[in-house]
Amino acid sequence: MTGGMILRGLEVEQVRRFGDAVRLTGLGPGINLLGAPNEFGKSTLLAALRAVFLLPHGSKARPIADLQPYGGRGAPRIVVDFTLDGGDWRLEKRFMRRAFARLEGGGERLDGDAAEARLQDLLGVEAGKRGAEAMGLLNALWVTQGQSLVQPDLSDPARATIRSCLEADLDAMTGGDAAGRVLSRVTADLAVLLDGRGNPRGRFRAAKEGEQEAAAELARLETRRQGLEDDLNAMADLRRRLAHEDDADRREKERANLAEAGRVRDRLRDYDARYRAARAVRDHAAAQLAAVRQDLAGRAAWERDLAAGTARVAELEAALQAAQGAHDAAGAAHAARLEAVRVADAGRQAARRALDLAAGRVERARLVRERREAAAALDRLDEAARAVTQAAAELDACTIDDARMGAIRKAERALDAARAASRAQATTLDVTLADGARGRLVLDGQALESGRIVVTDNAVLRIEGIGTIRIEPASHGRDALRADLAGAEEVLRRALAVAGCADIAGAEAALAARRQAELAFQAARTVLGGLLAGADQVPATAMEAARRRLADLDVRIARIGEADDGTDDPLAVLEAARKAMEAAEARYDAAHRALLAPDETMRRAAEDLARLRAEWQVARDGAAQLARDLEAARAVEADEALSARLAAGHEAAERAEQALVRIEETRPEGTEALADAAIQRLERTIQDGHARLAALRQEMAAREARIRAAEGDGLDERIAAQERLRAAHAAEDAACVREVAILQCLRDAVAAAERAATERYLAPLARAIQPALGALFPRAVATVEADFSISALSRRIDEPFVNLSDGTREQIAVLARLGLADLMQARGRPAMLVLDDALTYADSGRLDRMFDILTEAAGRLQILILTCRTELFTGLGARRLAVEPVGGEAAEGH
Amino acid sequence: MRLLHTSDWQIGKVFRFADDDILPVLQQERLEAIGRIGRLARAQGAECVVVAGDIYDHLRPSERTLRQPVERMRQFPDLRWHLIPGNHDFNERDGLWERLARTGLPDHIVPHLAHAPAPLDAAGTAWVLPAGLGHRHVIGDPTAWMDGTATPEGAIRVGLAHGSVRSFGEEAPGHNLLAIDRARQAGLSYLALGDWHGAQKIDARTWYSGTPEVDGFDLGGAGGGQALLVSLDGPRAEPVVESHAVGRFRWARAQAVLTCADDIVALEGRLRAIDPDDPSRVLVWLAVSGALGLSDLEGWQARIVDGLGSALRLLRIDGAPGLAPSSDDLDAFGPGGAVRAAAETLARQAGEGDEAARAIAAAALQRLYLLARDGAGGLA
Repeated sequence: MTGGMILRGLEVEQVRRFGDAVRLTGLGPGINLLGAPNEFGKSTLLAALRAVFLLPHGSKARPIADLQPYGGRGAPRIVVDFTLDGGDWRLEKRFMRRAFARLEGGGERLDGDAAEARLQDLLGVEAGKRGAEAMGLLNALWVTQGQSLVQPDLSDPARATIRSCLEADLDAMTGGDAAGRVLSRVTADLAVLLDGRGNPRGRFRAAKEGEQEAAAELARLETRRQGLEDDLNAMADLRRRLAHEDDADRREKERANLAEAGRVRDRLRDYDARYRAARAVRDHAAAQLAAVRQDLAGRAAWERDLAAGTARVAELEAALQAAQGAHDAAGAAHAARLEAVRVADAGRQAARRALDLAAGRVERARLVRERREAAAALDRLDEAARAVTQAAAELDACTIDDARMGAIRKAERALDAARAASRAQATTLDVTLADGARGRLVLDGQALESGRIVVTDNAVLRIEGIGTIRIEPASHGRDALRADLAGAEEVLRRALAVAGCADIAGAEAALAARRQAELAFQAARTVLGGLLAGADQVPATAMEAARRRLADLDVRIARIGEADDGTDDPLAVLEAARKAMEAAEARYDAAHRALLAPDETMRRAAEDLARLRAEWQVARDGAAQLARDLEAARAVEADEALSARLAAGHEAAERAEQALVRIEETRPEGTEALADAAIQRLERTIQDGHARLAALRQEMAAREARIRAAEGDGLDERIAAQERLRAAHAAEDAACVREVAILQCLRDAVAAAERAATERYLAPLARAIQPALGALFPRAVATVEADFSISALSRRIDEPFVNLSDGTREQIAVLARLGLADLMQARGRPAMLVLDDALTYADSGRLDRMFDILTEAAGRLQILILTCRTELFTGLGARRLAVEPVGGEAAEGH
Repeated sequence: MRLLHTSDWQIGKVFRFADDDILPVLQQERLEAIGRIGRLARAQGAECVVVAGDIYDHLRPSERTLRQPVERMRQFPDLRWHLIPGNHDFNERDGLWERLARTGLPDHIVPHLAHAPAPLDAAGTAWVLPAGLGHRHVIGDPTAWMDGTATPEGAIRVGLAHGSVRSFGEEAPGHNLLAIDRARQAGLSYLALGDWHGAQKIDARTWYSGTPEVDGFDLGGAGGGQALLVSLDGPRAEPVVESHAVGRFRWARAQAVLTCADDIVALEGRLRAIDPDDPSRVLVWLAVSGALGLSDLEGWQARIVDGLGSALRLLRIDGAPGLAPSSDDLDAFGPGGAVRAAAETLARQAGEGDEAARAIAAAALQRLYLLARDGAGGLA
């Protein structure tokens, strides 16, 4: 290893978890590996390394604050020993309290800011602003945990460093910095005129907006000027119209016309009044004449009416006399017919009485016959009823009937059955008595005869002379049988008792007697039933009804009374009486009809008489009234006077007509309505003229006010000023457009030139990376950008960096750093690579190749690898580092 | 009698090319000219001043602009100021002149709005026949009425009119066109005209006074900045007319073709010589062409654009010298490196493509030249 930067030792105290001083030991050229578990403090050591080299001792920036021990305030102290270009250096810094910096080496010892300045000079970095990290390429090479995936973020000084490294190689290549300066200056100048989106800003925008505003204002002013022109034109027009309206001659003529029209109308009105008066006179005369004529006609009509009325009275008187005669004759005829009716009625009454008598007789005979029949029926009924009663009594006397007979027979059969059963179980004694023995054998006190004896119960057989034998039948249920037998006997006895019979034969006889009694009772009932009205009628009721009918007939007979000595046949008498009655009725009807017919004649005669009498009276009164009225009228005005009045009326009417004709001849031209219309029109013309005049003056005043206001504004002047302003803004805008075009043209030219130059001088960087890249990705070529980042990897096709896998991106990032470090190393700049937890994404094949690449590079520069996965790096053959307390035991990380 | 003839004050005029610093100065100087005219009249014993129209530049000036010239004239009550409306401030109904009347003009300021003769001086030795304009463009000769209009016997007739005695092209044929021999036809001793901004004698009795303070780079005639002192000894006597300078600013047009450093030096000398005593009274409109190397371009920028631009009241430049970079120029960027490469690119772009792109590239190259030099603390 020639030259370069070699870290020899690192000591920290009061840095995060390292409270007491510890030292990283084992550092040397080539690959150095610190393998330690998480939380060991690897990243702390890297932070301390960055701090001591890159942060000024007086800094209180965040990275320094972060270095303070956990949970307390301390003063981090860091010491580093390193070799640079063959010379040994020791750098010590304390931060926060009692901060200091000291650099020793090359035979000199520097403190404080002098040490810092010398250090920056040695490292080729620029001081950071306000206590921040110094900026240079080392920052990019010392990768902290988590940044290994991204490519180095190069600060301006870092880029300058790279550029200076590259330019040193190409003596001919100058002006890169100058181009950068020009570009930044042009960009800054452009930024004054254009914003980020390329829109105008600043004076450019002000010019554009000013032009628009001025144009808008100009439009407003032009509009106002147009308004003013309009007002002025309108004003001139108004003046003309005012002059026209205000013409005195015209107005005088209008007034004269009005006066003349008034006179015409007055004449018309005067004529009209006179005409109306004459016509009224004429109408009055005509009315008078008509009245006289009417009076005359009325008087003639009166006279005619009077004559007619008198004639009518005489006519009616004659008719009245004839009617009276007719009426009297009718009255006499009527009286005669009345008398005839009365006689016929008397005859009719007598015939009625004879008829009634005959009818009574016939009725009595019928009733007597009826009574006889009723008495006989009652007797038959009584007899039948008695027979039934007797038969019933006989039947009731019978004690036996079929039911009782049935019971007796049933008991008998039961007794027989019981006896049979008893016998069947009994002890049978076949007794054969020896001669002479009779009587000697006694059973239960009863002497036995020969023959079979059945002993059904315990018995004592005494044989005389012998003794007694006690017999006990050995039958089962002997007691029960005995009880059954006794029961059956008792039942039979009781049945017979009920039937009132001594024995069964008696019972049979009694039953036959009962059958006979029943037959007799049925026969009696049949007889009685035939006499009764209905099946449900009780004999007593029937008999009571028969008796009542008898009594009724007796009453009716009594009512008719005793029969006269009727020798004649009552029916023949009745027939004769009925015929006499019919004749009397016929006679009465005839008389009555005769009475009715003459009644109509009588009524008509009376009506005629009354009507004629009334008419006569009316005619007589009317004629008298007419005569009186005529007299009265003539008394007031005699017929001669009336004739004279008629003549005078005629004359007056003639005169009035002539006067009217004369007036009509003086009629003026036109009508009053026309004259009025003319007057109204003329008046309106004059009034309108006044109104128009007032309106014109008013409008003129308004226009004038507006004109004065507009003129006071100096519109023309303001328009000219505004036009100038707009032109000025337009010129400014054009200048800005031109300026922008110039700047853009310049920017494009410089940027293009710089890009071209960069591409040329980037070639060494690409060359520096290429061997390692080729080793890792065969046949791949990296695209290096002007900002020294690798933007793409070309294998068969271009692959943008961001699209590559995490592992590939990480490996390229490491290669890029390696390339940059190589470049610096080759130019004699201090370079050293730190990888913190890097290459964890690599597969084993890639990892092996990376090891080869790192090992090869380690021949040129020191590489420090911090990892928590030591096993991955066993094949690397690296130096193993340890952290030891200063003056204590070793605490190797692995 | 003596009178002072002036016109075209154009008070309130706005100069579009002027920036906010220069504009008020130019406008103010137009007002100051009134005072100089008054003082000149007094000094020369003139009794009255005739102003031949265009007192105002705008028909509708602001109230302050309206009153400012009146207030200047008010300072000279011993002079009678006769005013007529011109085409810029024509007598519009309800317009400027009515406003002016409403402000209450002093007796010695006499606006003539009607075409009717009026005494010019208090004694009545001279009468003015005013032909002010009632419209911006009047069809027919507004001075024609002067021929048949009588004035008191023996009085000096002075015509006062605004318009052109000849037609300029087709754009305004015959507008406000005045008979060129009106003075003779109407028997005028003197016809005082306004409208042309450069003073001009038409004939012995017919003059344009021009504007008293120059307001443009091409005024024609004798240029602007004068007033005419007119002496009239009688109705028949030929007037004696003297031109007096009353303007302050000098307006000049210049052209230059620049190809080398010497051209720049010569141009600078030429422009500074316009008014060596006070360059701040000079306004220049310069048209430039030609092409320069990078260092000469720097010289152009330094001597003309920055140097003269600061010395003169106004330096308006049309065009710019092009870039003709030499190999020496490129060597100034060093023998190699990115900046040199960029400069070569820009030099190539400045020589090819369309005009606009070339100009931009040339400017960019010039900028690069400056930046590289500033950055390097001197070219390599």
